[in-house]
Amino acid sequence: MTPSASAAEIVFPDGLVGLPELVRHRFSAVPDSALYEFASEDDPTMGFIAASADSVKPGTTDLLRRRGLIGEGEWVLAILAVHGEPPAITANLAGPLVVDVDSATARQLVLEDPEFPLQAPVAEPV
Amino acid sequence: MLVLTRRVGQALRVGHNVEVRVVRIEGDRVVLGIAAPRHVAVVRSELVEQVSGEVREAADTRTKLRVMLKPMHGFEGPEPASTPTEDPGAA
Repeated sequence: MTPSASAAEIVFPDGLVGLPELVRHRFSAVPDSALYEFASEDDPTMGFIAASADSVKPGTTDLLRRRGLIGEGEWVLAILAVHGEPPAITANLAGPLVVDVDSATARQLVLEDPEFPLQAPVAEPV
Repeated sequence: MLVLTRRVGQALRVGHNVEVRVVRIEGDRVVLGIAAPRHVAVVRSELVEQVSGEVREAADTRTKLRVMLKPMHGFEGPEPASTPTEDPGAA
C-alpha cells in the first residue's frame, strides 16, 4: 500500500530523533513522484520533504525487513535536504522514516551502517 | 549517571536482554561487544545527534529544495512557514 496524494495526519508517537516534541504532521504525497511532504502541526517552522528510500537506494525496504527492523506493510522514506555549493540534494538514509499507512503512525530509525549514510547523494529526478 | 568499573572480558546487563561486554582496550579506545535483540537499536550517541541535526537541516533547506524540485514535480499549495535561518531568495 502506498500513501494517497491527499493530505492526512500522521503521528510519530515518539516524535523524531532528538526532536520528541514533533509528534503530529500533515503528510501528503507529491503526485507523479516518489516524494512526500511532512509539515509539523506542533511546530509550524518544521517540515521536510522525503523520498521513498527505495528510489534513493534500491532494495532498502527489503533489506530492513530481512533485518527485522520493519514489519510487513510498513513503508520506508528518506528525508531530503540541500547541501553544498552548488546546492545538491541529499537523502538521510541513516535516519529513515518508517510509515505505517494503515494506522497513520510513523517512527524514525537510526541505522549504524555505512551502507546507509547521513547524506546520500540523490540522482535527480526523484 | 550510574558509573561501573569493568575489566576486559567482563560484562554488564541493561534490562533483561541486553549485554555489554568489554572486548579490549586500545589506548584511549574501549572496544565493546553488545548483544541485544534485533528490535533494540544500538547506535553511537553522536550518530543520533547527527541524524537529529540532519532533520533540522532538512527543515531549514525545505524552501530551497522545493524550488529545485518544482520544475520536475510542480509543488503546489502554500509555501512552508519560513524559519529564522532560511533565505528563500538565495535559492
